[in-house]
Amino acid sequence: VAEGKGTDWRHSFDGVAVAMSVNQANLPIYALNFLEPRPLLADVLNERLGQDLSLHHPGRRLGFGESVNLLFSLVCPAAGFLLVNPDCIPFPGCFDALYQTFREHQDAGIVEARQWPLEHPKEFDPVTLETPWSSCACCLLSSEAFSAVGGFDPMFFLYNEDVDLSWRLRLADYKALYCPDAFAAHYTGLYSYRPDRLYPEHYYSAKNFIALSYKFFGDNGERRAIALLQAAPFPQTFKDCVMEAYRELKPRLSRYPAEVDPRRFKITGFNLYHDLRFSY
Amino acid sequence: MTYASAINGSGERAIPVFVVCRSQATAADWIRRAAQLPGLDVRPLLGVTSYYKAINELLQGGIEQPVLLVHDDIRCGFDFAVAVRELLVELEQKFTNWGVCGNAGIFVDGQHVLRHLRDPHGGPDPGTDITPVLVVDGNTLLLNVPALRQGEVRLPDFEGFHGYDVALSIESWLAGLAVFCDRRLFVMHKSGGDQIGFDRFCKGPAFTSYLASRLINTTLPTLNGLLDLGPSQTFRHLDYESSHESRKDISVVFDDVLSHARRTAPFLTIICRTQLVRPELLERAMSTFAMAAVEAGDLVQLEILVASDRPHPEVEAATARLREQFPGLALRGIAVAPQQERFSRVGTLFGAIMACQGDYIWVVDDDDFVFPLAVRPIARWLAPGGQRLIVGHARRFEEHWSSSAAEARCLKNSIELEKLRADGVFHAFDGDNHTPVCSAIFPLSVVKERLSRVAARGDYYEDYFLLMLTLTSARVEVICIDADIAGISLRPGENTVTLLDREHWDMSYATFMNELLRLRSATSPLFWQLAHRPGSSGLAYSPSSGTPVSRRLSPSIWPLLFRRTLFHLQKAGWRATVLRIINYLRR
Repeated sequence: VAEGKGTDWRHSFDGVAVAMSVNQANLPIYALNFLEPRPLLADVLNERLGQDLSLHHPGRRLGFGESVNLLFSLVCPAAGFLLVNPDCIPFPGCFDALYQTFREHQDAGIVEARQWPLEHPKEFDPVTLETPWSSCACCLLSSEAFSAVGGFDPMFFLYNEDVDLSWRLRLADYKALYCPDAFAAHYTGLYSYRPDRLYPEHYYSAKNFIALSYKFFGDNGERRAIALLQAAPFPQTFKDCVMEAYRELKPRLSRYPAEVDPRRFKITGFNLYHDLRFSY
Repeated sequence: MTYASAINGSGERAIPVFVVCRSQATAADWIRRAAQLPGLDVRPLLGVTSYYKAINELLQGGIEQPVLLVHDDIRCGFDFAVAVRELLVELEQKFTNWGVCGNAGIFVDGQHVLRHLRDPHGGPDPGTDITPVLVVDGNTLLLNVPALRQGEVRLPDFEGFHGYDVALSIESWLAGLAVFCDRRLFVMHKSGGDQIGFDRFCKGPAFTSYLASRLINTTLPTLNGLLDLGPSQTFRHLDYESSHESRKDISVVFDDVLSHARRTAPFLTIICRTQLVRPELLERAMSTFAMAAVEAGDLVQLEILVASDRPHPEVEAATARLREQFPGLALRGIAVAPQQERFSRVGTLFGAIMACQGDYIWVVDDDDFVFPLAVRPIARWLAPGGQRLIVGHARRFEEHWSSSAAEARCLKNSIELEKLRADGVFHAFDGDNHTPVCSAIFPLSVVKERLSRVAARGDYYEDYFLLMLTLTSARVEVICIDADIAGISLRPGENTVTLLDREHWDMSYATFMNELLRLRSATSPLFWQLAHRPGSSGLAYSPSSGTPVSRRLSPSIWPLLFRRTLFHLQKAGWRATVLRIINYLRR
């Protein structure tokens, strides 16, 4: 699921094709451009990947999670499916390692690849591979688990939807796993963001952080999240903008119906859902 | 022949110089001085209360050629017109769209200040090329009036004498006209500026609101300090669901305008040296090049040169395979035949360099890789035929690849060891190699000229030799950028750099340095004196400090050991607290 720029599509699928050829896999690929609902580079992609690619155009702007839900309902993958961001290139062996881990853990809901060259610094258990949440930049999802929790929550247009999904999977007794042997190059803008501006990631992450806190921890969670936002080093005008957007979103949010244990489902700081192993 | 006859006799029109004068006396001074400035048509402006309005009037007037707009307290040289005319010719030759050129400015990264003037703050910096700057200083401005008028550039109607150069720079960029800085506009500026007045006006709500109405940025670097636009900003443009934003990110504008303003994009060749024995690493390097090519856009023409000492058919076959895998890359291969007089690694590298035709080279061996997002900050500094050595940070990774013969090798572990910082490049003059070759982008014309003078009989340390040859060229300008640009893979038992027996290394070092020091053009005493002057290296050593050389060359092992241990613990997946270590050991 890509977010628009034509060139992103091209190199992303180049990367996937490379990984597939090395894996000797013959996986069908389904693509959806969720911000620009019009055909993009279909010829290039078809030339590159031949019959393995199906390109979908929803005809309107969708959020990331909603896009995946749509593709899932169209494709109905039997056992599981891979999600790969357009700025990710899975390494040779990445899919094999993800699949191996998925197969070895019957209760795996989501298995996340290890990001390269800069690994995500969040914690995971080296024995059980369990992690508080799994990033969907490059991951393998269980179809059964995905269906069981109703897929992604479309209220999170972009960012943090993976934390929400991981938590709901874990609450439904599935596991969120980290696969340290499955490498995927992820050239996230996060490490190259310039300090002279704010990006959509800042905005959505801040808004969805409060939404997530409210969804799982109610009014207390919301209060704490707002306090953390107010203490964060952003311009006050940005915080006001986020709060306004959150107030618009809140009536459409549904609270998680059961009590959630804050020791298992952590909020360790502003937009942080884990302990850090190290920091860059 | 005098300058006056040279210029006036050429039949060219004099360059109008508009001098914003604060008094009748300064205007009279400039009229008197005009006789000593052949080729310049001095026109004092009196009674100006707003620099903004003065520029707007100038742009709306009937002038159809570039003009100079200067402060009354600058002093230009007798042959200023010659220099300006030379600059104008070069601007026309190299760029299609330029709006403003000055003699001082700040680069788009907010970290590099360029000064080609003498004022109370100091003297001039060197500069090899016409350099794009985000914001130019207003003491001396060369305005491309026809282009600015056509671009409908208009400054806000502020009063006073502060911030107009910031506004002019931003409006010029937004109109698609590049802003530059060049040494040929060197003047002596008798004033250091009015920082208090600048702060009062430019950091005030009116000016920051104006900038926030044009840009989405939260800060803007200027020569007088960082302007905080945050309090004046709105942020709904960040919302994909509701955004209809006409304001721009000035850095994106900078890149877009620059890529279209250059008549020719600089040509960068990534030389990937390989023996074709580790295809999985070569493939990984290529995938990072492919991403880099996408990221570079129109800012730079990127070519990949696969250089090998393997036979030609093997190299051709490998290159064809890579072309198929990475159809978006401009990729070619070169088989450098083994040479009797050079070691293979040196012959391959230097043979490949001599086969390049572009402006810059980036040497990335097949087990190294580039950080694709760094291509943009690099490309901004590149110019066709440029002579800059661009250096960025490199990160070292200890890697473990599976070695099963039955299947393709896969990456099994990757641990970040340390970051080698760009400014370590100057330590090269201390005799140590602090700059991996993949963390520098070399100017091809300089490198070729230097290589044509040497036999290069050493083996290892060829990267250090290449760096020293370049650094000791009188033409080169070093630019250090604050960005990770390359990664280095260390694989225990596989890299020559990890060999315990250092004899071959040491002999190579001696061979290369001996040759370098026998090269007359590399031994300008001034280079080495400047590099060795106390405080220049940043190492805890200087001839006067008394720190033993042994300590300089052998830094304490304990911090390194601690770091490595920590990284090995971290790879196990948890933060290394005492309790967790105990739990882990028990388990």
